[in-house]
Amino acid sequence: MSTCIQDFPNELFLLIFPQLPLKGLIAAQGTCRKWRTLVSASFVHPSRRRLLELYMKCLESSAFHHARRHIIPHLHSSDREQYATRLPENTPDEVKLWLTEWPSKATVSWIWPGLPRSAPSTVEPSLVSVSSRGLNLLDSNKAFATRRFSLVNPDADLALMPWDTLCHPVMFPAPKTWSELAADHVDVTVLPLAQFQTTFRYVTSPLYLVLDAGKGADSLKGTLWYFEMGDKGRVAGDCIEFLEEELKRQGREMSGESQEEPVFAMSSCAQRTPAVAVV
Amino acid sequence: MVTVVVSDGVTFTMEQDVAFQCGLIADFAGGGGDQEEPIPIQAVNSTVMRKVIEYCEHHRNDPPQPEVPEGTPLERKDRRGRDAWDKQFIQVEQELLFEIILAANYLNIKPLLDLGCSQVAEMMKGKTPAEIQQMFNIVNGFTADEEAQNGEGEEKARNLNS
Repeated sequence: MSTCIQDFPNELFLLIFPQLPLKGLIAAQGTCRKWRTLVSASFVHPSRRRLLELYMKCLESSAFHHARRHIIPHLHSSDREQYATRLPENTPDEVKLWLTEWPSKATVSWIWPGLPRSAPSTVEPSLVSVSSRGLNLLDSNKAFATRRFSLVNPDADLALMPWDTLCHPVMFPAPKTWSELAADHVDVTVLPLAQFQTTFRYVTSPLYLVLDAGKGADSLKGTLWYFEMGDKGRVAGDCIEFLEEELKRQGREMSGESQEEPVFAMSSCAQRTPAVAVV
Repeated sequence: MVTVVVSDGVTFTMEQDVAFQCGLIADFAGGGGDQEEPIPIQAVNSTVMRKVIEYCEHHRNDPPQPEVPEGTPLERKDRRGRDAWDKQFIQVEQELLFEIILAANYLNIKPLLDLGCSQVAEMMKGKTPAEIQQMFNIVNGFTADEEAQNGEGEEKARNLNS
């Protein structure tokens, strides 16, 4: 009798599955019932596990299936491995995993390396991401432009105020540890992921991933910020949480429940204003 | 020297540093000197044992494996530095590959087990569930109801998973 992989004791699958990339795990759990159970029991990288769970949520979301029909025609192939080598060194693991392993055709928002910089006007804005009204900065072929802010601390109870290159103050709340910090400023390095129109003015404001933050502001590291939004600036704890929120938002917009506060508090403006590309 | 006898009655004699890469044989033979009685290894046949010994002979001078904490590193596949020889060694027919893995598991040869498992993972990469079923001759075992659900899910997965 010939030896078949199904003769393997379960613990061998638990050695094999953790070596698979995200797409391999997706395929493995669709292979048979036993494998589905074993994939869920395998020790896979925590961020990869969260991406797998997000993928399963995507499959269950009708808004997602609707939206992706609008996105897929605009996808172009891109060399992901090569792309990842250009990411700044201190890019969090979950961001690298998302960019290298997430299935392109399951793009949740318009923020994606394989999509054009701005969404064509034919793309139904309410169904794509809020970023369809802005710019997808992950598209760029140039090196990733990180930026450094010096955050000053005018009053420990108030906010950190980074000054961007246009010299207008933008605020976000002080991390909890700030009050314990003797210094009056701290440097953060950010990676812009996308740019949006703001509710308040006709300028675009970037969605930042905080790559690095100085001592006392360590808790900012890995989080996503929308600096123009005052104390609502924190968008998500990390990029997977951001994608989860985007998926939920798509579902709400599709079922007409958009009265509730959108993630970026900007869709009312965006619905009135057509997408413009501001460089 | 250590002598083993495998399932089809063939005996193999090897030097201790080769044999003791198999945790099972090391445990069996203990710290002592030459074994008089051949060690019975009923779960492995001579074809597979020949491959296992080939592996152990090639790696007899390897420094002990550093303990790698489970999990965290993203580039797990690179952590053991599969060299060109290993890659060539593990390029075998599917059935023999599976038997080597089972033997490595039984004999407790961690690096060979890892090599075999990563080869299986390598074979699965880029394939759809249907292609994996075909490659490994797997009956999916879903019930009719699940099959209907899964058919839908699978179709979606095929479309999306690229």
